Amino acid sequence: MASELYSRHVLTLQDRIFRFSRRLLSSEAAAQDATQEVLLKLWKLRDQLKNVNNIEAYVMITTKNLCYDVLKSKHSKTLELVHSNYSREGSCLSSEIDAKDEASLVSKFINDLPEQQRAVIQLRDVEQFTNKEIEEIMNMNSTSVRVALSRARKKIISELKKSSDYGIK
Amino acid sequence: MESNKKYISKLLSLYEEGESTLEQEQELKAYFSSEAYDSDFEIYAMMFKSFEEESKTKYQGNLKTTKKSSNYFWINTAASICIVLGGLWYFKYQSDQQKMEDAKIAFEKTQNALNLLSQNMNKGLEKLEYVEVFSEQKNKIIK
Repeated sequence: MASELYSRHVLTLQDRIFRFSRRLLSSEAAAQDATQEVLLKLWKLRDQLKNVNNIEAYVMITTKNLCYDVLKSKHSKTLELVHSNYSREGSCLSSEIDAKDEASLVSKFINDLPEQQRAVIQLRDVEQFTNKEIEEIMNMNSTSVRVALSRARKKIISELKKSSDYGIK
Repeated sequence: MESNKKYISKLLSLYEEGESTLEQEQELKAYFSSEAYDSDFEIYAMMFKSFEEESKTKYQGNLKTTKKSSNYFWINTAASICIVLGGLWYFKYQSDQQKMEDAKIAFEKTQNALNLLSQNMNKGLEKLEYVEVFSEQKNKIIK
């Protein structure tokens, strides 16, 4: 009974879990580990799933918490370079090479956003969650969700405009 | 065409403010994926296409489900072995029981036969008493 609930609701979400954790951790391998771990964690908790109203949101909350834990432990253990730290200003060349691929350009700009905005834009524009669900997942109120979303979108649009202007001049 | 463009740019400004609904965003997505979008919106098209593309990425590590099915496989094997062993044991038990029954019947039959024999023997002994009396009398006379 509980395992049926698990495979019906949780396993169908595994792509979303993967994409969300990839966005938060900005690493494919780390995201795969995180997805595995989230699925395992929820499997252990499968008996409690029937008490949850919105399983999708619950799964995403679990994913978010796990990713934040991973990020925190990464920061405290080593001074590893996180992607967003170095590919910002100096490496014009690499960003121009990247620019050939429009999708990766957008993806890169999203990764340059602050953590919270990154999560919100991912949940909204890629995963199509409603604002209500995002409020629940990110533990934010409706105004701050809207503001974060708007800032993230404006930032990406302005970055894209900038990079396309380079191309012309 | 012009009114359509106006409508789209209105949706886009709502989108930028974070006030568009999911339905409106779906409309924008559909508009940009049609390839017939206005070139002024090139940047937005890039954005929506990239979102669309990202939403199609799949999680590759499918370890979980295979692990589950292999679990079932072992449970199935164990259960069938149990059933076979149980069947064998029951068959053996049944045949043992049958043997016991046979032995019991044979025992009773032998007992009956022996009883009959001993009864007849006793009858024979009764007749012998006459012989004894006869020899006693004979001794009295002959002495």
